[in-house]
Amino acid sequence: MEVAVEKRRELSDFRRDINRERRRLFVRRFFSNKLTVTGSVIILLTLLVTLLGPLLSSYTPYEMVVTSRLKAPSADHLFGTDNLGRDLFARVVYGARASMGVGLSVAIITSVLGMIIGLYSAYYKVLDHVLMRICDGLMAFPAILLAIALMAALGTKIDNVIIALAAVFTPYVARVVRSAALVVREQTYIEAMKAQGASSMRIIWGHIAPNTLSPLIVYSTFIFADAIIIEAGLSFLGVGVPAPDPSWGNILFDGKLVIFNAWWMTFFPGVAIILSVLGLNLFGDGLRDLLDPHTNHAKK
Amino acid sequence: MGDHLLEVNNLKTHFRTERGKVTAVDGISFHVDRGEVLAIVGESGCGKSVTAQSILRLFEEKGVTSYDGEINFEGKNLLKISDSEMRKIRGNDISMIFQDPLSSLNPVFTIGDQIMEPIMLHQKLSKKEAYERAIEMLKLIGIPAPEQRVHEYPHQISGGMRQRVMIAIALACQPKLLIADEPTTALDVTIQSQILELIDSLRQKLDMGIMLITHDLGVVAQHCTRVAVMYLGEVVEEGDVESLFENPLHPYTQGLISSIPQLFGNRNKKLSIIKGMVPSLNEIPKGCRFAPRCPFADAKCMNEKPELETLDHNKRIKCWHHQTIKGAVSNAT
Repeated sequence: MEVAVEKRRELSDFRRDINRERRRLFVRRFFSNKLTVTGSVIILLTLLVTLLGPLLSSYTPYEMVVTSRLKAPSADHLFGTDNLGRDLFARVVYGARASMGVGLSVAIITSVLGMIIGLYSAYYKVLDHVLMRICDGLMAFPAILLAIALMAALGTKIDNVIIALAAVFTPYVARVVRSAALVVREQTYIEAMKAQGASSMRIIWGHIAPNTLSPLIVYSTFIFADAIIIEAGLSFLGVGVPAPDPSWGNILFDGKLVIFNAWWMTFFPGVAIILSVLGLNLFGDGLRDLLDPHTNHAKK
Repeated sequence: MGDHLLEVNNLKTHFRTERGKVTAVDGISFHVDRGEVLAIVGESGCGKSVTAQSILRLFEEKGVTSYDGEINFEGKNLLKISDSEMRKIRGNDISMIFQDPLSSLNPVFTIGDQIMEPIMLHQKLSKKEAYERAIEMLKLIGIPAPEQRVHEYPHQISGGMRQRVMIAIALACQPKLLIADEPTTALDVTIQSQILELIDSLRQKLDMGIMLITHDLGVVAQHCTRVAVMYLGEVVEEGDVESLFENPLHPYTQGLISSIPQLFGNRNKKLSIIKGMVPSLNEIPKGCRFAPRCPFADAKCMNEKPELETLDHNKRIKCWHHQTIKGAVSNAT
């Protein structure tokens, strides 16, 4: 009895050691790629600013002071003020909420929907024809045009931005998942699973899905970045986040009118967009190297 | 005849292709008893693997595949039962080992997870019990340090080891019938014999029936009790191992056997070969299917289809001239 207990303890030790070793290797590989680290640091900082926004600024993004319109950056107003005398720093920081929030929600929603659509259309041929033709139809429109059309139909509201962008990007994610799943579906181990009596559900979710995760994760970071850009575009055009609420896109729009006498109004939101998108793309590239065994071998 | 473990009667597997309907397995019949090893031999493309996968009904795409005939397993016709009943049989009563051990394991799960999968699916054991069972199975198939190995991923172990793991998965639920589809083709000779010895000893332990698909006649001679020789989707000869090797009746079987290199013999003598290629399933010969390649073929063979005749000693043969051929061969040697 005691021997058995002893043995079980040893077993769990084994598992813990192996898992610890695996984690250590992963962390080391992660940090060996400087670009990935840079990307993740940028994203972490952006997320931190997004979450801590209200604590960082003594101004609110809505407070208008008519006497201090278009003030250049100073110790008082770190990024200067806009054409209505609102503190630009507060507006950019609060704008991060809209941009990052939209980006993250769109990335999550499209991943879930895209995974479901991609997996089922890879597994069932008839469904594939129907779903992929719908996706083709959606993908035939340029992303920004479709997003504008959807926003025009739904009405300008931040929730609708998320819905519209999810509708725009889901077909792309579904395509990525489907193509990964099609490869996996033909593997002998899937047939072997069938020969062991696994149901279609079990095969799709238990065995095909995990094999499509790494391209999906990588792709969703790019969707995150794309969503930020398109959201900024929509807000810039006036069909995104509605006016009093700050978003990087609509700050840019306000700044466009005064670009020659108040450079800061276009500069700071522009830099925010560039940094967050750059950070996400670097992170995504690094993840791809990390998760794809082929590129790993090439590096060694 | 009703007491066989597996009895296949006049099984036909059709595929619908772009060039029309193709019958990959055309009316084959055989049986497997408990504790015996039936070998199915034949060239590439003669329908061995399709037969194996048909038994488990692995081709299930509607409108593309269709089956005819009967597959009786313990009195149940596997072609008639529902999908969910079929799933209960797969992996539990009938297991299959696939040809290619390198791609038969899912790369994202540890081998322990994969052995536990059928156990938890069919035996309704808890995760912990299944885990212990998986370790037991790894011990059984002779993998050293199983407690460590269960946590490894397929890419961390060798090909021979992976094939052992495949066997462990197939045997995890102690099936009554094991279908081994060229289990040793991808492995080197030393591992090959180890794996076959292992399967053999497990057969004795568990009293399984085994259907071994192979094109290695050496393996057949060593490990099997009966042999069915397939050619172009048909069984052309079937019999006990001894009688088949000593006294092959079908010209195709003779060709197969005489093309084995001999260790002791005249080294300058060229190995005999069977001339020609297996014809495509779209252009099946009208008469005997082997006739275009057969040295004994005459007008009758070209035009009329021979039936599978049953001779004494459970021997079955599909050839018009087996009586005369038998004489011809014994005269020649």
